[in-house]
Amino acid sequence: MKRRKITGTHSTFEGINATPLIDVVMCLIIFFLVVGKLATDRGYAVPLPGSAVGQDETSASILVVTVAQRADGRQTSGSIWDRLGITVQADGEVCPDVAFLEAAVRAKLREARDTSIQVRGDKFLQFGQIEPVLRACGQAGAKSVRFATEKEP
Amino acid sequence: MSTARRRKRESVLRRRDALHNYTMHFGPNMTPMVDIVMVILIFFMATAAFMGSEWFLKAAIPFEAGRGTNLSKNNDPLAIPLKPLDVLMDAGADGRTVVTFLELNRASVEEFIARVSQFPRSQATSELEVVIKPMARVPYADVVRVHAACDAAGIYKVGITMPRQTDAPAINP
Repeated sequence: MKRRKITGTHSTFEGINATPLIDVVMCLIIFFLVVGKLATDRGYAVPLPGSAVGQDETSASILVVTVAQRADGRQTSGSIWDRLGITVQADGEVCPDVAFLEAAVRAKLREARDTSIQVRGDKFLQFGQIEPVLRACGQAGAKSVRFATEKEP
Repeated sequence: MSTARRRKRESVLRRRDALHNYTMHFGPNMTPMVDIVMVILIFFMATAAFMGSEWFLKAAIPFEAGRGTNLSKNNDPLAIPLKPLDVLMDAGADGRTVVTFLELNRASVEEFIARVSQFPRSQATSELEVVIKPMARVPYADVVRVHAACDAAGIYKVGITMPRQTDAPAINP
């Protein structure tokens, strides 16, 4: 009986071994899925102010509140955000008004009491535009916030 | 035909490719594992670069309006409560931010940073409570600069709130 070895004889061309290629491509797909999800969850990318000191995030539960400058200046809902010329997002979801933001913060705090509220504010804003957002977080029961800043050497 | 005899017969014409070499090796094929490990390595390097570019400044905020700021709980009932130091920030006539803090009166942000960095590195400094009170027209970036200066000086109990009417500096801009 003649045994045929699978890998022993390669006298004829049998095609490219696709296994490593598939492995790598699968890993790349997973990578882009994860990165894509991270990118959408963070909301608008805003230019953050710089600081030479700061702490890393330690809390497991995070709510990202993004305060971005409204570029076109058009009024959409006539809310306080419109009058201030800002757009506010909580975990990537646009907040049409203060009540929506408060509800988002409250729900997150109910889920985990030690939720860290990350405020990502555009560095070109004035404090008066950010303050109503802080007040809304306070109204919802948050005791502190963390201002996201760009690391400076 | 035994493997040894066949190898001997083919030895002259045998093609030297990777798979031929593989048959002569013991142990598992490492190639797919190395591929995947390399991709995972690149993934973690990329995410580390994403995560490492920013950090956070913690600030207390006035919560559930009407009860005022609650920077810390005092555990000792006999301890004299620390009066928080106010940092009043306003926009000056030329548009630059001015700071009123301790003996500084409408000084520049640079002067404030120099002043706060003189605080001794001690337990007392780390227990200080500072409340930053910026007016509405102060740039947010300057508020962060002042906050970072406090953090760098070892003052970690920082609060941020809008100034009340009574907090307004006496001197007009």
